[in-house]
Amino acid sequence: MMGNNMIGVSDVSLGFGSPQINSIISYLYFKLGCSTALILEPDQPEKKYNMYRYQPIILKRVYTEENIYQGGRAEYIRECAKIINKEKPDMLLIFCSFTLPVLFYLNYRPRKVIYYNIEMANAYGKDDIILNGAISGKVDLLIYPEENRARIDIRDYGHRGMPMVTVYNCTNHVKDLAEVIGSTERNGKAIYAGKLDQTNTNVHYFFGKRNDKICIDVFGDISSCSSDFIKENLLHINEKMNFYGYVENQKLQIIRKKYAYSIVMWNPVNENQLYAAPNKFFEAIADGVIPICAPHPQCIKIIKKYDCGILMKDWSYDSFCEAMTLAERIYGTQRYSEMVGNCRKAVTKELNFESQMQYIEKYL
Amino acid sequence: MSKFILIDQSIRGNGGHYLEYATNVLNEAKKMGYCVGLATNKDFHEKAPWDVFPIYKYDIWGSTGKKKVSFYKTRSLAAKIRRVLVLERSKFHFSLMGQFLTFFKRRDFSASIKTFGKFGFLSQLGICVSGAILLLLFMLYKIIKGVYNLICKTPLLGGLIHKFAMFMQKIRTFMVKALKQMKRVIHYRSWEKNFYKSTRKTIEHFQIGAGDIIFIPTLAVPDMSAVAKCIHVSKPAQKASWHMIFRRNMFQGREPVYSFDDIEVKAFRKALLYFKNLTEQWDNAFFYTDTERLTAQYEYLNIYNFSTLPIPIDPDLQKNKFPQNSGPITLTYLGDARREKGYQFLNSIVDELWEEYIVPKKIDFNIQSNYTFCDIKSNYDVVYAMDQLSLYDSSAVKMCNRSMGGKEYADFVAQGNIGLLFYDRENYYARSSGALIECICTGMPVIVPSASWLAIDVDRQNYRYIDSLKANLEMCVFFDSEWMTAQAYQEKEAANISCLFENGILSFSDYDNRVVKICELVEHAAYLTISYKIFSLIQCGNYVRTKIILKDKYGLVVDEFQSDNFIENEKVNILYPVKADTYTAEIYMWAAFYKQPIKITDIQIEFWNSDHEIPLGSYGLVYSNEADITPLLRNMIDFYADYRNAAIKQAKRYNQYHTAENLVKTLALGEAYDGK
Repeated sequence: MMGNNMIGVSDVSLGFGSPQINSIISYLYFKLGCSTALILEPDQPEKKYNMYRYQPIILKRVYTEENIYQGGRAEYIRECAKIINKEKPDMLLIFCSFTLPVLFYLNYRPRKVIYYNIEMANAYGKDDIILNGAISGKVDLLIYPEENRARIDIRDYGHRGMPMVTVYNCTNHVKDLAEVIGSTERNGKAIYAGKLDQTNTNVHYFFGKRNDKICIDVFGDISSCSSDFIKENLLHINEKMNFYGYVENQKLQIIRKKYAYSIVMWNPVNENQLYAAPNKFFEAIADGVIPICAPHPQCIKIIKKYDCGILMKDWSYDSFCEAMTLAERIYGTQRYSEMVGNCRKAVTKELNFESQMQYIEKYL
Repeated sequence: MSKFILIDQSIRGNGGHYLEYATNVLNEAKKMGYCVGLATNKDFHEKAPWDVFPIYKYDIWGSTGKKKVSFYKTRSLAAKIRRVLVLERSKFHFSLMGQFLTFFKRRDFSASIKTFGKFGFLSQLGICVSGAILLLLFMLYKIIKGVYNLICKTPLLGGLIHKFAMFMQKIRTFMVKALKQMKRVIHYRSWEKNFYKSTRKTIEHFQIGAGDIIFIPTLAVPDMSAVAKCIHVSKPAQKASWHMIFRRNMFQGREPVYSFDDIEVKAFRKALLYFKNLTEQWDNAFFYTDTERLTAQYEYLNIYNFSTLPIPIDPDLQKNKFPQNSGPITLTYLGDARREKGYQFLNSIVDELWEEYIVPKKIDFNIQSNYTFCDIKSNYDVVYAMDQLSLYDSSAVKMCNRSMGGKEYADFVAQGNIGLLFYDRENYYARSSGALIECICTGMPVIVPSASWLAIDVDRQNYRYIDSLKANLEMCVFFDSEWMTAQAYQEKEAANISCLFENGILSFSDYDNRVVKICELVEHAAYLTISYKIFSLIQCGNYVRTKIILKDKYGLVVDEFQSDNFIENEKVNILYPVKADTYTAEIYMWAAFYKQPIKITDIQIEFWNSDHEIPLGSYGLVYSNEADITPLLRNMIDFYADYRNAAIKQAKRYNQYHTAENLVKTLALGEAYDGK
């Protein structure tokens, strides 16, 4: 038992995405009986801050003069390092390469350092690649949400001799599993929640012409780099697509349960997106909402293993339409109920937070 | 008494099975009445029951086995300094100064001024002074650059400067190339010279004479040239017979891409011609390989005839005792931890079989995990697999991390029940795998990659097995004609149906021109068989790839499977189980590796009833797609007794052929032993 304090350095303001950050910190806090646990989060002005959101864990927002994604990162790193150097926690958790440079500004070595690679480092640029290649001796455990990402990090940074575990992005607890809504009580629609961006998520597929009659409800932020075409189409009234804007994760969890399907799709423009490990995929399965997925390797593996979703053949629009037609065909049938049942089986067996955490237990 | 001398310049110790091979052959030669001797690398210091002459400096790879200490040390020190500097630069990026400079470079002056305000007075002064100095230096640089550009723009002077610069560049490139080439030539000469001198000494040491056999089981081009010179100048060498075996690929890829323009092939052909010119008059050199495909490769050169030798394995493994297995079935991976040997697939296989088979102690794994590579970059998935495998309970997933030799290795093989040989099918298309022979000789069922040398016999036996199986199954649906192009199917056009199928012959080409057969209403069928004969194929080396996609009545994929097949003059048979909810089967066919027209005939697609499950193969199974390994393994584990019985039958056949005795007899006769 550590019996001491723990700090986690987040790369996003919490409560709107990356639920694994507070989940793992809560888990470690109770598991190890830490005296205090603190999560440092960056200042994203558009996201509401609530210090007591995850009590007894304290959430501390680190304010920076510049937006952290537009030049304020260095300041955030230094401020976090200052806090850590002052608090001297026994356990330090770094979430993704964005906050990794903190490790290089510490004036002591925490007893245990866990580097949870939520996103791939190579998306952050040359300096991050170099720093990731220099973590040997500074990190005690590497956690990846997707096994191919771990392989790529070995290729790119030569990680060797550090314990490395793959933990799925499942944050749902078995004890909190709610009753799955029966197919007759569902709204027969598909939900898409996430980034809305033509390059990264193929959002334009949602308002293209399709043969099926399934309506897609879209939730999320329109990315600043989206074209006017995307913005106009999302906001335009369309009988097969409704756009509802951004909602908090907690709200989304309540909404999602009523849907028949959940669409999970990233455009594989880089390795980070090809080897996607989407939270939304696991959340949909946990709610018994059948995922319709692009063929990301992790989605293929899980859907094939549990027969709990519909896989697109590839990333093309035709495949998307084909998958939607299949979805329409099976909705309300015995096969649909079977798949919903398989989702629940997968969750109770493997795709839950407790099962995933057992992989890291032996390294604590 | 005639002598049998084995030269293996690569024997330094127990590693790499070189010593085992030599031991097996020499033991047998001794039994057959020869006076035996072994010439090895000069680093070999082990004791042996025969005369050992450690003399050779270079091994088969041209390596002396010693690192060039000074060069590597310098490079490593330079690399270390570079790494530290690069790291410091990256860290600097996140410092206050780094942030200030980033804003400054971006010309975000308001952010720069804000950041500047955070520095102390002395730092601010320092920044101002250094800024002023840098500005001066920058101006100076601009002035010099301006003057230089002005001179270059002057017609005569500028042109001359430019031409001089280009000339110097060419000289530099030429010098670098020449130096590299020279280094290679010097190394080659030294290697050849050393082999020549060492072989002369070997001839003297063993007092070689008429009727003696000199066997070189592995050799490179410089070694071959050196042997030619020896025979040319040494009278005793001219009286003995020389037997050389080539076990590596000469051509890369398969027949359709065999190229005589390949630099390695050219060098080899030249060396073989040189050999022939120097030694033709004595006619005492014999060349071998250890697979039919390699023999065909080397005979493409049209210089010498090559024969195929058996692969002698450890006699301890050939005792023909096949004990009944009690306890868990041991799945054994043979070969070191390397990508070429498919080590990277192991962790997901273990993961997939964990709950159903490993936890209830139905199976366990024995994995040879020693590795020799230093380059993590190109073996990253192997490193990952090793890390992940080490997380499992070591009593269920045993990893042997050291290099094994002799008895230890034989014991390791003998403990196995199923051989996992996931070798790279491109590299092992023609060359042999000793591990496969070891597995079969010990009665171990195997799982091997399709379209490789390893699959030839497994495929052949499986085709026969499926033929015999059909007699005991009840057929429920039968399909013969009406194929269409995949493109027509996708576009829902049935117009192109008939033109594909003429006089019972189906034609297709590569993936883009694949054909598809849709079999509907196959409910209640338990198994699917596809059989056909190759009618014509432009060239060997291409395979028919068959992909089976089973769908339910909604169109959801229930299961899929892929198979690569090609056997000359024999009927191809594919067997695959049909899952309960299957409603349609889509069968696609195309040329697997090259864009070539293929014609097949006697196509039969049959669905069979069965109230019980059956083994899918005889003594082994062949996978085309890595994703199919685990389902095939499940079948092999579930029907282990059947596979084992078939494997034991094969073992008896293999044990008769792959012996050191047959090898020595072949060498003594100077022709291939007909014991197959």
